[in-house]
Amino acid sequence: MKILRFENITKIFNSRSSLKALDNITLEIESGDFVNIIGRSGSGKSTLLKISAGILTPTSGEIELDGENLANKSDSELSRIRNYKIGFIPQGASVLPNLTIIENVILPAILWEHGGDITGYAMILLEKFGIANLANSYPSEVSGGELRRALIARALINHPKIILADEPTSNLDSESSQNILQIFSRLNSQENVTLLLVSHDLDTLKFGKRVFEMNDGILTQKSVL
Amino acid sequence: MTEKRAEFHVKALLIIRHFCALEIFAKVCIIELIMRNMRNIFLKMNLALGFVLASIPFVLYPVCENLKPDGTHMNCFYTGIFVTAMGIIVVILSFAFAKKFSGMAFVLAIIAAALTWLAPNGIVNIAGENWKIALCSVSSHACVADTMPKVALIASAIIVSSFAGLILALIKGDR
Amino acid sequence: MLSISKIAKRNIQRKPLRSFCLILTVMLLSSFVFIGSVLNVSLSDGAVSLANRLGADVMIVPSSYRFSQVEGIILTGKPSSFYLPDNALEEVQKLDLGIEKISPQTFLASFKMSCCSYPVQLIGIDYDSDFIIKHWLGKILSQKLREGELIIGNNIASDVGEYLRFFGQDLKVAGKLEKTGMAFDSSVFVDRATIEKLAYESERISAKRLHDSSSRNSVIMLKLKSGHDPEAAAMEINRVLGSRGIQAIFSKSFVNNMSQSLVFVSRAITLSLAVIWFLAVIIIGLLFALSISERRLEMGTLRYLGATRAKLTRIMLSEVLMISSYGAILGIFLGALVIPVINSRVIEALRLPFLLSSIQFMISAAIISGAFAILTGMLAALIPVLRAGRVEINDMLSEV
Ligand SMILES: Nc1ncnc2c1ncn2[C@@H]1O[C@H](COP(=O)(O)OP(=O)(O)OP(=O)(O)O)[C@@H](O)[C@H]1O
Ligand SMILES: [Mg+2]
Repeated sequence: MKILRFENITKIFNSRSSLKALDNITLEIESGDFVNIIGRSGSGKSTLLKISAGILTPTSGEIELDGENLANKSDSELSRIRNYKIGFIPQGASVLPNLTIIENVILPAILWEHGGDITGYAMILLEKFGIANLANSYPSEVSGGELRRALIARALINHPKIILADEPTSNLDSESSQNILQIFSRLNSQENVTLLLVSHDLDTLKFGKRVFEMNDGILTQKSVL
Repeated sequence: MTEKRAEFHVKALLIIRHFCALEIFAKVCIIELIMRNMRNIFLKMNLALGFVLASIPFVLYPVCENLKPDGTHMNCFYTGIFVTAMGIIVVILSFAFAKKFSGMAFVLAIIAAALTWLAPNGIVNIAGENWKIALCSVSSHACVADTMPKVALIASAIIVSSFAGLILALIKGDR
Repeated sequence: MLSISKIAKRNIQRKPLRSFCLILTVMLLSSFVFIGSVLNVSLSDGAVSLANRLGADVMIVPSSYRFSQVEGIILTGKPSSFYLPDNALEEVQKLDLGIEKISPQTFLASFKMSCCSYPVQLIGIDYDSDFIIKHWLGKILSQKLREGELIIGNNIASDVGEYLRFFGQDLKVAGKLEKTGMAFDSSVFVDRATIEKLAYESERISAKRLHDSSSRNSVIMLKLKSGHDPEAAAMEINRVLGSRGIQAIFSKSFVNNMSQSLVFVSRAITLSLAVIWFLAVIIIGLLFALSISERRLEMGTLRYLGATRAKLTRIMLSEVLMISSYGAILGIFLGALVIPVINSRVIEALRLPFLLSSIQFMISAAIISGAFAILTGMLAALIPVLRAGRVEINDMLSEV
């Protein structure tokens, strides 16, 4: 089943009209896939993820998420898609600093009032990622690696169709990076979570079912593992 | 010459700017410090002010304790006792809520402090069989001239500090 | 469990200094509106009904008294003793004015004797012809006011059946007036025989004659038959008897004079309320704009996690609502403490009659002031909040 489909996506930011941040990108991601995109800084990786999440709109081309075309959607429709179908992990740690770790994790479920034992599920996720003891700490009290793991838990809380992770290992030491990447790979292999991961870190090359390279907005497939 | 002067100006400006920055930094630090310990500060203030309030009527600015011709105490005397009692209540409240910080400590302190004005001035009637919280009608008597203005001052201070504490209690909430 | 209101609460907790300033601002606003509106209404109530409350169309006083003095005596009452010339009552009765009721009153200031006796205005009334004091007696006395008895004004701290001592005489309280908002509130009323006796005692104690005339009348209250103009009657009295040391004042002139100072006070109150409101809007608006601009990333986070623009606005506004509600409630609490103090002070300070409004009015004034303060807080924050809601998610995320 197709989860994400890019067709001839081009993105030109107005202020630099000559520069194509994304240049005619076509990509399809099936359910259970693990796509890893590697590229230098400024190559357009974040732009690609933001377009997938409906945060940016492409200049041309079509994008479909779980069978729905993201073009011409209202704010509330887009918000609903982001909440129910996407687990977005942005570049850098963006959390609500005055909520505890567990509260940050259940936040997406609160925003659209998902039922069920949300707190229980959040605890299961935190335990799985080895940070259950930090549940009631505040973001400023935990390490960068621990916070990244909390962000992964937050992305999973609403059982999304796809996880979009933007450089989830940046600014971490190699041990923490490995830990994070192993979490992703286990999620994909054991629980069939669909992943789209972008990074400039060559360490991530070992991970992912398909690896692409992004170069000045142009996407090329590197290898199939 | 002019070049040197210009250079001097630039340096002077830089120094001034540094000082401004330092001062602002110091102020922010002080405010931060106060805010961090505030929960105690207002209770402490109430404690001190309550103590002062309690000691006004018979120690600092005594009311006239003379007896009336018929051998009973004058209203002022009972007012003095009442003010002392309210002061003690404020002190006790500060102690009672020292561990468990709560807005209730301040609400009660405000009411106690307000009563020291409202009761003697007859807005809230507190009276018994043959006593009454009230004031002498003669404006030159110690009770009216000395005691009550000081009581009003300290009571207002307690009310201000308690309102500040109350706001803080509302902000802090359950965290 | 997490909820929208909990998120708002945490935001308030996280910036204690900012929240403190915001709550203080709203608190001052709501208390000022509460106090100001009660003050305004009470003052105008006092003035508008003054003429009715006085109950007389025309008052006759010694001509040596200036208008403002008379006004002071009637409205706020510094205890004083003054007397009309002989036969003033008869001379006035002789005139063809269309008098319906006429009743003299005798003023006598009590001495400040011992501590805790009252320096009050003693007023001798002719209980039979009186049409002013009786009007304020809640229930009519079982019998007429007897010698040695007195009726007390509402501010006199005593009750029916008790005894009060004046010039060495113990007098029994026979009745208590309702609140009049005039000097009557701190006056004591006795019958003609008693006032004669008290005046005699007063002269004996002070060893000084009160006045030379044999008349013991201080003021004469007139009520005219309907269709007769009080102003014309007052002018007629002044024309005929002005040279005899008598002066007539029609009560409407009090009201006119009063309402001028009242308009001034009321304008001052309204103006300061407007200034305070304006300041509050600016402070709240600025502080919120500031806090929102430093929370862009948080707002962006909420947005990409699936919060709609509307939800984001709601989270922000519930924060304002919470802060404003705290401030409004505290402000009403403060107002309730301050109003009694003002009530007791305003009479001396403004020399205006002041009738505290009914409890129902006070409660509704409190509710309306609180609601007004909350609305002001919401309104002031609305502009920065709505503007923040319109920012694109990508801009929220990148602008850090
Ligand atoms: N809001 C924007 N306005 C204008 N240009 C932008 C904007 N966002 C990104 N760009 C440009 O688009 C290009 C791609 O940016 P993008 O953020 O996607 O790069 P990236 O691969 O994520 O880089 P990094 O690894 O540093 O995060 C860059 O040249 C950048 O300058
Ligand atoms: Mg990027």
